[in-house]
Amino acid sequence: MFGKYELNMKGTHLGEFEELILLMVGILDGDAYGISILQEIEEQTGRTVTVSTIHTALYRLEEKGFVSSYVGGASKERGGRSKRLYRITSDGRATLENARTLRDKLWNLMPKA
Amino acid sequence: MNPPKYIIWLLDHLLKEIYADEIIGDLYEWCDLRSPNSTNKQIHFYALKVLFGSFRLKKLKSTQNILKGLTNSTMANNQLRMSVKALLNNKLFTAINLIGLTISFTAFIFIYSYISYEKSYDQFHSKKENIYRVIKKYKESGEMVRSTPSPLANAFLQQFDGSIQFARFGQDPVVSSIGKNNYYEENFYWGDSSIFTTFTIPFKYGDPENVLKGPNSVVISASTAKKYFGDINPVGQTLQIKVYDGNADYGLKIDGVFEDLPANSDLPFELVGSIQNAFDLYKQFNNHWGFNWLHTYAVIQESDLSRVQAGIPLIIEEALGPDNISKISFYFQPLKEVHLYSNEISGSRTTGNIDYVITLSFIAIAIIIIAAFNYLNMMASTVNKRRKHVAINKILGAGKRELFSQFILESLLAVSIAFVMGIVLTFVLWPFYQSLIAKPVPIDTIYQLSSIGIYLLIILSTCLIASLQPAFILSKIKGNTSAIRNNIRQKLKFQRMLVATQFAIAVFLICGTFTIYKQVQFAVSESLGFDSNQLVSIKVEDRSLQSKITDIKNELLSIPGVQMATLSGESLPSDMNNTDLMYWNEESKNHPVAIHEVSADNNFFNLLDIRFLTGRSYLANNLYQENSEVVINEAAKDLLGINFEINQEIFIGQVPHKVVGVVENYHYNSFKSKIEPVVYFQTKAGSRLSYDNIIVRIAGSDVSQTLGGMEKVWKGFAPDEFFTFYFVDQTFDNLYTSDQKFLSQFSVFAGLGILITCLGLLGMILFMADQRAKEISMRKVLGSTRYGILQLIFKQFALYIGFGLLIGLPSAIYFSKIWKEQFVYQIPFNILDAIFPSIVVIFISILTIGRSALKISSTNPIKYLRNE
Repeated sequence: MFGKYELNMKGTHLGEFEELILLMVGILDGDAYGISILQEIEEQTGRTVTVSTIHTALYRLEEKGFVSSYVGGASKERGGRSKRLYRITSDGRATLENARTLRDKLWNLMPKA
Repeated sequence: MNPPKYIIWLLDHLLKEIYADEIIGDLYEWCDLRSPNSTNKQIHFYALKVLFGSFRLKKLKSTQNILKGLTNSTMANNQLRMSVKALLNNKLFTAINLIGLTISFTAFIFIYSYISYEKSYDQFHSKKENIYRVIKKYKESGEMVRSTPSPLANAFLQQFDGSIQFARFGQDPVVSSIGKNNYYEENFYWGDSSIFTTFTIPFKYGDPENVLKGPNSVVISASTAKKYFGDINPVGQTLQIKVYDGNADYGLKIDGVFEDLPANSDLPFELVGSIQNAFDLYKQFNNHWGFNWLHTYAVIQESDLSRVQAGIPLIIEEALGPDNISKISFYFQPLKEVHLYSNEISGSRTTGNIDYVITLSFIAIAIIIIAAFNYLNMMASTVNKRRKHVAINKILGAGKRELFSQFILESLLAVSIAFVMGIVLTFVLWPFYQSLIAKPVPIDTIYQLSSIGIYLLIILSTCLIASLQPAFILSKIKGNTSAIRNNIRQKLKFQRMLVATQFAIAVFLICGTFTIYKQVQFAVSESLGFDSNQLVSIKVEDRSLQSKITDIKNELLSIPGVQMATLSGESLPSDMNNTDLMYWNEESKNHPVAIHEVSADNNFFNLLDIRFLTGRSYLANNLYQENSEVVINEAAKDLLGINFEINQEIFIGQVPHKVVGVVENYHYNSFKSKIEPVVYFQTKAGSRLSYDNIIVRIAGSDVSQTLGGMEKVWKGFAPDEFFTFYFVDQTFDNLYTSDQKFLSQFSVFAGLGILITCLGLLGMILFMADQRAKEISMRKVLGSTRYGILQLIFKQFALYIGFGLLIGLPSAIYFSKIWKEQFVYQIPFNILDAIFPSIVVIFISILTIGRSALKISSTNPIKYLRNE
């Protein structure tokens, strides 16, 4: 029991890349999946990433409960494969906000240049 | 543009469905997106990146599901699933088995590739089936010699024209000059033009059919050509050579350049000059039957072989007289036997040894047997665990045959997995193995087509050895309730025998390693009978320089680091190049014996620290001639009998001499050859017996300065000659290089064999702990002490070990005796040789089972008895 609690605490931590992905999932609002996130990241930040890194981050976020997923429709350009769409959960939004508040708080403590 | 099909296939089969769809779909979309401005290569690379990036443990399908996807037949599918399940059910045993089998297969593949490499020597010649090496045999002593008389080929040709062809070559070191550069060429041979039509040696430049047709021509190897001329075609140029032995200079026209001989060839030459020059240089040589120098190879059609062989006495009678028919013979050694079967033939420089090949194949098989027995034992140990399972299967309608094939399949699966891992391990360890055997065995010997058959054979036989018996027992279990409830009583006799056999093999391997190690160590470190430390030997090849050899010696003595110097007609180790016949009274005159002749100046014995049994060295001004003083060794004195006394007269080559001293026998060559009778005397320059070695004892300090001084002296006498020297003790150690290589191979494989035995032992004790947990707990409850339990466990293993020792030791001692026979001087058998390996085996076994045994004996009985 104790162990599980600890795990939860650890789980709330967001890595830099995870935060980025989580933000993208939020921005895309219901239309987030591997390729759309990849394009969004390239557009917004100029970073190039592989699909599998995004997938890995998404699975981890899903495990932590920050995103939820559902299977969407298949299409021809996907070789007849179904896609999996991701949506940010309220837990995920709260964690993002927490991260932002923490960052703002720390920014305020920074002496002005 | 779509992603590569095989990547999709892999993703589909290895990943769980939910992940596969997502990843593959995204990959398709991505490729669609990028194909306008990416090359195929980039997309392929990206897809590969995705493939490897997607392998996370939790995304992968379970092994069973992967297999399910790969097999379509329900029956085979089911059997495979059951096999995988059975292997996974008993993870510990499976792990032990897989490790053991993998190691044994790795050892097997290594040994197999080594042996096939040894067998591949000179097998690339297209006429290999019809090429024979001519060997001279002395019928009385059985001695065989590679060197043949020069007129031999012509005599054969006269007798059997048309049915036999010859290729002869003889070594004659030269110095060749290109511009200002001089090169010492040890592997210069005079040879027939037919060498290049007999052997299949590809030419880089020139035509193998049209070389060495006249005198003053030469053919060189590609690497020699590169050394001399760089990358240009040197055909037609002239090569200046200086022949040491004949003291002559020639300009030889280069007829062709042949590709370097592969490492798996025993042909020695790098430069071949026309043999007609040799006939011209060494007059009479072509007709002299006593001159044994040439290697002779013959091409004989198989149908002619027996006829040619039968004609040999005729040729000997004609050439050497009827007396020699009973003394000398020639025989044709097939080319495929030259590499491995030439240890008995003196002068043969091949590195192969059939005994090593046989021993290593035995080890390879022994290691596989140990691993297979491990598997068998563990499978048999789990019979009772699987009893219920089998019985229920039978009740549900499984036949005996299905169950039987099920168990065989299970072990086939395990063996095949182990074999694949073994191949991988072989690849990883290949560089290590190459440095161990110090031969450039190419890695593709592993995956030759011919190897695959052997591999399949070994997989199948391992599988059958490992599982036939337990599969038989298991499939016999009846499908009724009593089989479900009651343990079947196993006859453990068979299993015990197997463990004892494994122990016997382990003891054999340890004992064998130990013996080989001790013998090699003995040969290297045992006193040679003279002091070989700080001895430097300098070879003087040039004839004109040999006439100044005494002056060089005296000059060398003026160097501060040089303590003593002497001259000798034999280097150390000595090949004993000169032999004559000796007799000493009327009786021995009719049966003279062979004695080696060595010229040595009178402080030779003093410098080498060879002791005199009796008498003294000859006087300084005493030269080898009629009635001169000579010294003989102990072996020669033994010939003369007990009546020998100082100043006795002996006849060497019918010339009388006076024996003024007898020296103790010393090892002038390796411990593998016998110390034979030798006579020592002093000579002048200019004869075949003349001094051609300077042997110097130098001080232990400032060695490089001393050597530098010696080179300076040498250059003063011979500015164009190379200063070549070597340390005598090192050269003696090098005589055992092949034995040391064999030792390191043997010990590595012996170590692996023992490791696998230990793994099996570990499995046995873990199984015992599991099976007898209740029994042991009951014993403890009823008052047995911890010590009593330990005793119980060890008693069982002591039986195995004892039995193993009983069989392993005598066979190892027998093997050692045979192996040591190649050494004339052997380390005597010591009872410690048997005791030491036994202690090692016992110690290793205790180490392996000790911890588990202690754990069993100290568990709380309540843990196992609580349920009932």
